Amino acid sequence: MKAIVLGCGRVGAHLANSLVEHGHHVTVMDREPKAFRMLGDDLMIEHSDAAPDQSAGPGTPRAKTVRQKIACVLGLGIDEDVLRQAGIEEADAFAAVTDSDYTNIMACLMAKEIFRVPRVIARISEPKREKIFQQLGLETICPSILGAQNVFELLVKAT
Amino acid sequence: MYAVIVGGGKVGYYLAKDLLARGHEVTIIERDERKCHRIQDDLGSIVLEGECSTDLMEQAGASRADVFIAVTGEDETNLVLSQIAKRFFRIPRAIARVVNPKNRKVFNQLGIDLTVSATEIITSLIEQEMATQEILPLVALGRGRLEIVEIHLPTDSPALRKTVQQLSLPEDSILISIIRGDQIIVPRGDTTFRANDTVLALTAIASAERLKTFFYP
Repeated sequence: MKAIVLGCGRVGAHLANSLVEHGHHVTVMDREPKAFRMLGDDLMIEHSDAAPDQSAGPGTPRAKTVRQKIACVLGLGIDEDVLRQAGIEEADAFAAVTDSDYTNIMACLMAKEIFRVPRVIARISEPKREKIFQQLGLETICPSILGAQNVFELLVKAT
Repeated sequence: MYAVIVGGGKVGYYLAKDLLARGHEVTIIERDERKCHRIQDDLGSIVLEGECSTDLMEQAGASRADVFIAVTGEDETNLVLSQIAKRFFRIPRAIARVVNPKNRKVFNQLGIDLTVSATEIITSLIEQEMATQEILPLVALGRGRLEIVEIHLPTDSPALRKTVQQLSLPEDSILISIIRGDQIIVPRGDTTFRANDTVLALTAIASAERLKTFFYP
C-alpha cells in the first residue's frame, strides 16, 4: 500500500514508522524541515539495505528521500502541488495528523474529493468537532477521546 | 438580511460596518480579545468572542442566517467553516476569502463557488492597466470548470474587421458583451470587432487557451 502521512509530529512519525515496519510505502509531509527528525534513526538501521522509495516522483526539487523507505516532502499539506509531489494521485491511503484540525480537514477533503484517495483519515483534537466532520463524510479519529477511554478502562479494571 | 461573519480583522470589520449601514443584521465571530473589544466599541454588541466552532455558530444563530462569510487570514479555516455553514447549517450562501490564489480552484472544486481573493483582484487590476496579451480570468463558475474572461483586442488582432459569425469560436465558449469606449454592445452574428474593444466571454477553462488564439496574433 502507498500511504501519505501529513504532519510529522509524534503521531505522524510513529504512524509512518509503523506503516513502514509493516511493509508499506510511506511519504511523510510537513511544512517544517526540522520535523522530519522525529522519524528517528532506528528505522534507518533496520532498513539499511532497502531501496530508496521513489514515490515522491523523480525530478521534484523539494522532495528528498532521507530515511530508507520513508520519503519526506516539505511543504503545506493544503497545497495541491505539494500533495501531487507527495504522490497523492497514486496513493491508496491518506492520513492527516497535524495539530491543526482545519488543516487536517481541508487536506482530507482534497484527498477524498479531488484526488479520490480510497482511504482518508483525519485526526481531530476537539471532540465536539468530530461529529460535524463525520457529517462532511470524513473518517476521523480523536486522540483525546481514545486516550480518555483507555485510561478509563484501565482505572475501572484496576478497581 | 442576516450575515454571520467569521474573522474580525480589517476585511471583516469594514464589511460588517458596511452591511450594518445598509440596514442588515450582522454577527462577527472573532477569536482575538482585543479585536473583539475594538469592534464592540465601534459597532456595538455584534461580536462573539472565541475560536469559531459549531457551538459558536449555533450561538450566532447560523441556521437562520442568509449568508455566511469567512474572512479569516487562514485558507483552511475559511474553507472548513464555509463547508460547515453550507452542509451542516444549510446557509444558502457561503462566501470565503482565499488568501493564497492557488487555493481558489480547490475551493471551487470542493463546492465553495463564491470566493474572493484580494491578491488576485490586485494582480488582475494591474494586469489590466498593463494591457498584457493575456486573457484575464474574472470569475470562476461551475466548480472551477467555467470562467468569465476579459480580452482586450490589440491593434494587430486577427479578429479585427471580422464578424462574430466569421470567427466560429470554440463550441464551449460564448461571447457575453463587447465594451467599446462607453458603449456596451451585445454581440450578434454580424457584430464586427474593432481594435481596443474589450470582449467579455464565458468559456470552459479547457478552451481558454484556444479562445486566445482568435484574438491575439
